[in-house]
This record gives sequence, C-alpha cells and structure tokens, in this order.
Amino acid sequence: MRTTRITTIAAAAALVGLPLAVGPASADDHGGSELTAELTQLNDSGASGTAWAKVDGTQVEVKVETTGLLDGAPHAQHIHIGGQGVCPSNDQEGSGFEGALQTTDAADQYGGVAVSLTMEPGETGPDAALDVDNFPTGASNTYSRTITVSDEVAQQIADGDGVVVVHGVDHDGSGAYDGDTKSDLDPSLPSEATDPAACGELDVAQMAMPEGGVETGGADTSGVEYPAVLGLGGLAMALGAFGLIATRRRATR
Amino acid sequence: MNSGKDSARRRHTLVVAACAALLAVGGSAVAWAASRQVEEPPAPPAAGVTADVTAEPPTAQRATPQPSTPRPSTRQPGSSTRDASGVTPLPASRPVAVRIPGIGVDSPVHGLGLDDEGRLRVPSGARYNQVAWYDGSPTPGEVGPAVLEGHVTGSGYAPSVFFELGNTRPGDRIEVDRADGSTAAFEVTEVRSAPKTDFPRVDVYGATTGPELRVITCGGTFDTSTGHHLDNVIVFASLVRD
Repeated sequence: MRTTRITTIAAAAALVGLPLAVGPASADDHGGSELTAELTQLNDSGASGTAWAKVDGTQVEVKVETTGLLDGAPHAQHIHIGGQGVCPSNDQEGSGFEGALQTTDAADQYGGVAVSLTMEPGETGPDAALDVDNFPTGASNTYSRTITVSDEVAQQIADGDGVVVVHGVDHDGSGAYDGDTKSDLDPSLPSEATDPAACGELDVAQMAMPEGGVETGGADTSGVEYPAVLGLGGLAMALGAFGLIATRRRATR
Repeated sequence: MNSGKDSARRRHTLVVAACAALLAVGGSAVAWAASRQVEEPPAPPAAGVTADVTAEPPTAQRATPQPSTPRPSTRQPGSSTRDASGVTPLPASRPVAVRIPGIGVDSPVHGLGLDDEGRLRVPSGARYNQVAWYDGSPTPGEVGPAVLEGHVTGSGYAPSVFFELGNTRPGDRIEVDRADGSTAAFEVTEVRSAPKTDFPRVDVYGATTGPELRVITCGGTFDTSTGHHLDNVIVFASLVRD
C-alpha cells in the first residue's frame, strides 16, 4: 500500500516536473519555443542575415536567410553548441589567410557543430558538417527545413545555447574558393571554403511571433477619392452649362 | 399665337432653371469631393532611416549579452554605444495610452491577440482608430520588443491614427502610459518600410537584449483587388531614461 502511494507521488512529481524541464522559454510569460538570431559578418565577408528556429519536442524548424555571400559556391551552415555560446567579433583574427579567422580558431566561443543545416536529402548530424553537395550555393539564400535532433540538442537550442554559423569566404576576391591555405577542417579543401562568413546567436524570442505583417490599412488615398462623385458632378455641370448656352443661343436667334 | 409664345417662353425658363440646377448640383458635388481629397500617407525614405549610421545591418540593437554568459560587446560594432542595456527595464504592466508628439498621436491602447492563422488582429469597430498592443508581446518597458499597431487609413478614405507614422524620424520620442501609472519613454532608432510579402519577422518580433518598441502600420501601394496596402511601415524604438 505504502509503495503504491510512493509510486503515485513519484509519478505525479515526474508529470509536474516535465513541463519545467522544457526550459526557461516556456516558463516565461511571453515566451514560446521560438528563437531568433541576427547574423553578422565575420572575416569582413560582407555577409549578413537572420535565423529563426522553433523547437517542438525533438523537431526543430529552422529558417535561415543570408545575403552578401560568394555566389555559386557552397556555404556550409550549422547550429553550433558549446563553448561560451557566443559569436566572435568581425575583427577577430585567426590562423588563416593573412590572419583570417578559421573555423576552429573560434571553437571556444561558439562550440562545435551540433546540427548541419543541409538541404534535402542531406544528413543533419555533425558528420554532415562538410556535405558540400547539399548546402545552399547562392549569394543570397532562403533556407527552411524541419530537422529531428536528440533530446539534449533540442533542449540546448530551446534554452538559447545555439549559435548559427555560415561558412565560405572569398578572401582574395577571386570569385571562387581557392588559395594556398588549406582548410583546418578538411585539408583537401581550400580554407576559403570553410572559413566562417557570418554568425548569430539564437536567443529566446520574448513572444509568440505573429505571421507576416499587419493589415492596418483601410482604403487607398494615393489616387483620387470619390471618383464617381467627381465624375457625375462634372457631367452634371457640363450638361447644365451646355443647356444654358444652347437656350441662350436660341433666344438670341 | 400669344399663348404659343407664352408656352415657349415658359418652356425656355424651365430649361434654363433645370440647367442652372444641374450646374449648381454638379458644382457642389465636385466641390464636396474636392474638399475630401486625402494625400497619400507619408512613407519613410526608400532605404529606411537609422539613428546609428555605423550599424550594419541597420536594425535596432541586437548585441545579446546575457547575465550568465558575458558576451563580447564588440560583436556588432557601432551599436554598442547606444545599447539599451544601460537602461533599467520596467516590471510588466499593460499599456493604456501612447503619445508620439512629433506626429500628433495621442491614443488609448487596447490589447489584441493573434487570429487562427497566427496573424496579428487589427483594431476594429468602435476602436478602429485607436492603437492596439499585441498582448503576446512584452509590455512596453519590459525586456523584448513590445508591439504596437494602428491603422493608416479608415474606410471612406479617412486618415486613421497612424496616417503620419511614416513621417517619424530617428530621435523622435514615443511615450507609453502603463496601467501601474508609470510611463515608458522610448526613442526612435529606425523607420523602415517593408513589403508584407517579405516581412522582416526576425528584426521586428525577434529577441532583443533591452526593452524596445515596435510601432507598425500600413503603407505603400494600395492593392485594390485585395483591399490592402502592400507594405508595412515599421518604427523601431528603444527605452530611454526620462
């Protein structure tokens, strides 16, 4: 009898404890499980963008919008977790081409790869970090994918521990990944292919973010208002004037 | 002969009177419509305007130091000097009124939520011409972006509460009275126009370090087929010390 009661209490405690484990995001009055990041350039790449994520269990919906990247070249992109959970600054130098920051130079800041943000059908684990065939290749990219992650990673992202890093910098302006410096991640690749180009910390949004813009317009005021009134009024005036002139003519005749 | 002349004259008088009436009625209709012509609502400069010319991208402060993990303030050069983190956030309290002296706005504020599609509801009915606060967003003065919205125009071509919002400029002051009797004072940092089809959700609704404000209305070309403006005008502001 006593053991049953203890089990019941334990079960109840587990149930009560569960929502708390979802993290500070859900404990917050306005919080959801949405996260946002403003991506800013590293290595003077000129790249920028935004990232948005929504965690639902172990499903993470991710959207990344980037611009200012080298066109026609794959841009590896990941959610890093670990380190201090921060981005290096744009002027931070490293061990690469003319002091360029290489990916591992800032590993103590943004940690290691936890999720590879590949396109279908690419794998999404850390092993797919350099799956160049499945990363966006444009100067501007709009990426969207829902990814299944481990409980731990889902929790860390929901807590705001994730950092989005986008890679690939054309240091010498040649229009392609080249140069003598080899990548610190894969010596078969030039360092330009893997050096970090943009970074942003995924912070917990303070609200359930509305979809799209707002419909706060009533009517157009750019053209002519009440066109029918103006038109009919004008017509009436014209008819009246024409009639007056006509009758005057007849009278004088 | 005489009676025929009389009737002709009478007919002539009638026609003259009718024509004069047409002229008068038409003229007054035109005058009435002319008196009700409304200018296009003002739009912010094409590239948007920012108080902080060195910040790039030109958005409100996004440096994200958190109490537990000190983050390098050099992450976003230019935006750290005016960072809202220097201002003490206010406790939660619902907004009740808003004033934007620069454009003559003084309006009560009511709360609105999201519709079934997750879109922000807009003021309607008796409160059509009043400002609304998204009740899922932080209260103005709390950490995060508090969201206010209002119509630019009403039905019947009448300008609404935020008709002049596009004339707001960085440095302008926005004051929000709160239910607890306090007033949160904000300063405009950026005014931007964005197409609704490519709405900058992260910039507008995304996480911020300090207490901020977003004020949204409509603008741009009016699409007569949908009955909506194609753009949103968005004012970004940060809490300042009084």
